[in-house]
Formats: sequence, C-alpha cells, structure tokens
Amino acid sequence: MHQRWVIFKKEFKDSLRDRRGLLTVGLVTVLAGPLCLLFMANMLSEYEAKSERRVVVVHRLADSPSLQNYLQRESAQIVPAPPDYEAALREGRLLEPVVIVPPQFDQQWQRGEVATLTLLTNSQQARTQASVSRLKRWLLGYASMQSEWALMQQPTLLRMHELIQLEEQDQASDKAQTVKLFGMLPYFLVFAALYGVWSAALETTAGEREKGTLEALAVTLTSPVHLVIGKWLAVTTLGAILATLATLGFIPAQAWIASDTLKAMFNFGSDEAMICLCLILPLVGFFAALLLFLGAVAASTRQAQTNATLVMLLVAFVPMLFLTQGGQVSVWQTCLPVLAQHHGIIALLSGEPLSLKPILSLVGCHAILILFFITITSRVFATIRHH
Amino acid sequence: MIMIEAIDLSKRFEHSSLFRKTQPGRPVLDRVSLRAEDACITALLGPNGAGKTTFLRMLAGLEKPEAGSILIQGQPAHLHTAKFAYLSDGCGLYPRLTGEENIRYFGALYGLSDAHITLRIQTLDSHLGFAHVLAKKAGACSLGERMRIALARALVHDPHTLVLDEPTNGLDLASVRKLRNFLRYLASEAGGGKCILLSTHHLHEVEMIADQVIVLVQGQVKATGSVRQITVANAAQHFEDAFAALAFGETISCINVG
Repeated sequence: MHQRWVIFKKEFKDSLRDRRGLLTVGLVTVLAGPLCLLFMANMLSEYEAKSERRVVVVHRLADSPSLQNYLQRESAQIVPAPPDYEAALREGRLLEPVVIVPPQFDQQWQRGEVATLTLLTNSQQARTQASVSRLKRWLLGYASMQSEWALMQQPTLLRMHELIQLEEQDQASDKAQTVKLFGMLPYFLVFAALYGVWSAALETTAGEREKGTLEALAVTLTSPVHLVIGKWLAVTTLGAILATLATLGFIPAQAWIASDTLKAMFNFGSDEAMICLCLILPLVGFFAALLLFLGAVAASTRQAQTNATLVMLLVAFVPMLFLTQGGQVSVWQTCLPVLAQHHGIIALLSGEPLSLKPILSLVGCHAILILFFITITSRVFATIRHH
Repeated sequence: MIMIEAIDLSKRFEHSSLFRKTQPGRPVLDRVSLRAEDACITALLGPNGAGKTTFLRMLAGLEKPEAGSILIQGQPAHLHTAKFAYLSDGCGLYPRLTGEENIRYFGALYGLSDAHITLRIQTLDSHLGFAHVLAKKAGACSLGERMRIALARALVHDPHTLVLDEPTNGLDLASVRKLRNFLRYLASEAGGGKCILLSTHHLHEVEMIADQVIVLVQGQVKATGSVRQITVANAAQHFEDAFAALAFGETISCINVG
C-alpha cells in the first residue's frame, strides 16, 4: 500500500508539472465539447430564425401580379432579386433562394399553357436551405390555387397532380429530436475520457523507458504490480478530473444557447451530468489501463503513440458502425467500453429511463477489463528485471 | 571477502526484422568470469563495444545472460537487491521533479522514512556537494549535476554493493576529485567497506582509484590485477601502453621529450 501511494503521489505530481501538456489536453477535453455545442446550437438557432423570416426574393415579379397578391396575402416580405442573382447565389452573397418568374407568366397559364416558375437555390450553401421548404410550400399552394381558378374557368385544364398536397409529419419525440441535434455529445465525452489519460499514460510507460527511469525503478524492490497500480491510479485520477470538467462544462454552456426552443430541448442539468459521469468515469479507468499497456509494450514513445492511434480510430469508427444499424440494442453493447457510453448517453438525452442494473453491469465489465490490462502490464514490467 | 562473482557469463544480441529470420549476432560477452571484493574498488576497463555496460546491466538484472550465473556473497543476485545500487550511464532522472524529489522518491520506494531520507541527503551532500541543485528541476541541471543527483539517488538506501556505469561522465575536475574521495571513503572501513564495481574509459581515473582492474576486450576478460600488476605483466612502462597492447594489440612507445 505504501509503495502504491508513493508511486501515485509522484506520478500525479509529475503529470501536473507538465504544464504545457496539461494546458493542451485541458483545452481539448474541457472546452472543445461545450464550445462545439454552442457553435452547433447557435447555427441551428440561426437556421431556425431564418426559416421564420418571411422574405421572398423574386426576379421579374411584375410579370405575375397574381403571385405578388398571393405572397402579400401570406404576409411575405417581397424583395426584388439583384441583377446578378445567379452569381450572388453561387458565391454566397445572397443567402435566400430566388423565385424566377418567366416573361408573361400570368397570361401564359391563363391561356391554359404550362407555365413554369423556377426556384433557384444553392445546395452547397446550407444557409439557403433554411427558407427553401417554406417557399416550396407557398409556391405549391399558389400553383394549386391558380389551378383551381383555371379549372373553374376552363374545366378541361384539370391536372390531378396539381390538386394533390403532400403533408409531412415527423413522428419523432422532442427528446429524439434532441438526440438528432446533439448526438455528438457522447463522442465529445468519450474523446475527453481518452485524451485526458493519453499523454500521462504514454509518458509514464514508454516515456520512462526512453528516459531510463523505468530501469532505475526495476533495480529497486518495487513490485511491478504496485508500480502499475500506482501509475494507473495517478493517470486515472488526472483523466477523471478532466472528464468531470468536460461533462460539467455542458451545464453552464447551455446558458449561451440563443434559441429558447433548443435550450429547452437540450436540458442538461446536474442529474444528467451525474449519470453521464457514472458512464464516463469507468471508461477513463479502462482507457488508462489500456494505454498503460500499449505504452509498456512499445519500444519508444513514438511506437506507443502509433499503437494508441489505433485505439483512437476504433473509438471513432466502432460506434458509427453499430449506431447506424439501428434496431434493438444488444446487452453486450451496453457493457462494452465506448459502445456502452454511446448507448447510455443517447438513452439519457432521449429521456429513456436508465436503471441501476445496466450501469452496474457496465462498471463490472469495465472493472474486469481494467484488472486484465493491469495484470498483463505488470507482467511486461516484470520482464524488465530478469532476476 | 568476495562480494560479486560472475561465472561464465555469455550473451549475444540477435538481429531481427519484420521480414527477415532472426539471426544471431556476435557474442557481446563470451564466458566472462570475474570477482569483485568487499572494501575494494574494481574498475572495468575496455574500449567501446567491449561489453562493459552489458556486463553491468546483467549484474543489475536488466539483461538476461544466455549462460552463466551471478553470485553476490555466494548467493543468487536477486536475494541482495536491497543492498545493491546501480547507476546507469544515462542517469535516468525525472526531469520535471527537483533533485531532492528524485532522491526522496527512491528513498520512499526503499521504505525509508522522511527523516531517514533527510539524514541520508545531508550525509551524501557533505561528500558529493549537490545542495545547490536540490531545489532545481533535474531537466534544468547540467550533466555533472544530474550525475551527482543520480548517484545520491542510487546510494540513498546505503547499499553495500555499488555498480556504477561511467560515473565520472560529464563531471568537472573538482567533481571528479570529490567523487573519487567519496568512493574511497565508501570502500574504507569508515565508509562500511563497500564493494564498488565501476566502468570507465579514463585510464588516469583507473590509476588513481582502482584497487583491481579488469580489462574487457570484445566480450572477453583479457587481464585482471592491480594497475601495477597489469603494467608489469605486459612488459610496459606505463599502464596506457599495457592497456593499448591488450585492447588494440598495438605497442605505444613512450615519447621522450628533451
């Protein structure tokens, strides 16, 4: 116990002394998540505000007084299109779609000829898309109304499709919408757990091997098991502090979300943060044990970083693979590191009840894996000294 | 009394790569047998690549011999770890910890109390003179300062057997003289009559300090004895000539000036 405590104190102090590394890791883990949340939420707010604005940009409106009347009745704010509207839309100077009225549009459809309105958009500019669906709805309504009028005048002009209206209804709950909007939250927390231990774990194993301090320790009477446990405790403590700050960082960050609707949808309070921590902290311990092992078997820090990069790739891609499949979540998916955190946090954001049983099985599974990696890392350390 | 005894130690490093079959390299140590006694400073001397560091690392348990055995006081080496100190040529200090923290960490790992460690630091400082670097981070110390801290760290638990790999590396003359006096003191009765085995390149250092010299060339022991015995046995005027004859097979004649 004494040796483990001595090693823990030294390792923790050593990690805290690495100010530059700590600052970088701290910025990445603690601030990246809340900042991205704010960025995305404010982008969505802007999108939402834009879709509520009733601006319609029209080219050659004088050729269709009927469209002008219709849009005015819908209380749209009509703005004439600039002369270079095509270039402006392409270059992103114009952020609203443009309705192009062909010459003598009204006379054309009144004569019973097919008259086409063109809706000019730029799908590369995400911001123009905000108004497109509303504008499409208006134009379909206008076309339908004019068709009915024309039908009354000349019954033979009836076209069925102009009388068909398509209504779209989203069956997803508000909380599910929240998951759609804030689905990146588990990624941030999982990566915060990984980055929080990354540098310290590799430094204390592969870094020490390079500096020769690991051999100096091997010559002492220090037991390899105590050495690994002391190092794991220090790395996990540091990672746990950073992961906790990263999780709690989302609470004050939501105060800066501009849209009240989005703010109400996100609703990440202290209860949610506590459950998130119950899911994330075992992962911090697991990552610490795994990276200690990868650092211990590597011949150099560079090799250790290469090995650890594979972990990062798995952390990034495995959830994508399983989460995009949808359907029923298997029991093993709620226990395995990374996948369990993704499912847990998504369930939490969806408002699904999260009982104690899956959290306990997650903690149990992580504890087994941590013990496994501590044992094999101790064996690697034991081989440094031969007699 | 014989403290360290190596019997027929052999070692060769293998060359391996991802796509090639592992191939045995040349022997680094070839049936090396030697003895280092208590209250005696034994110097391991040899040209680069002679196998000095490999041999010392084997004593510390950091390299596994292919064949042979190591005994300390007639018992297997691992039973004497608590009384054993090894100083590698790279020092192996924690750069972000101060000199004092580096020493205290190892003292605590050896199970010494804070008060005992403080006492040991004071004793070692009186011989080695490192008080000015105790509060300095090891990463900011000069090579000589780092070597003194590393030596103090290796000796914090007052070991009986000292294995030092190039301990004078990077030290200035004043520090070398201090270290020399300290090692002499440790080997003396007043210092506990410790067994000291060190490797070095400096012939002058060997002449000044060593009671016994072991010349290691291409993994084989070429000569054992005092500086005088080796010089006489090789019919040389100076120890340097004797060493050159043993190590490089050449005779360096004396240049008489005037």
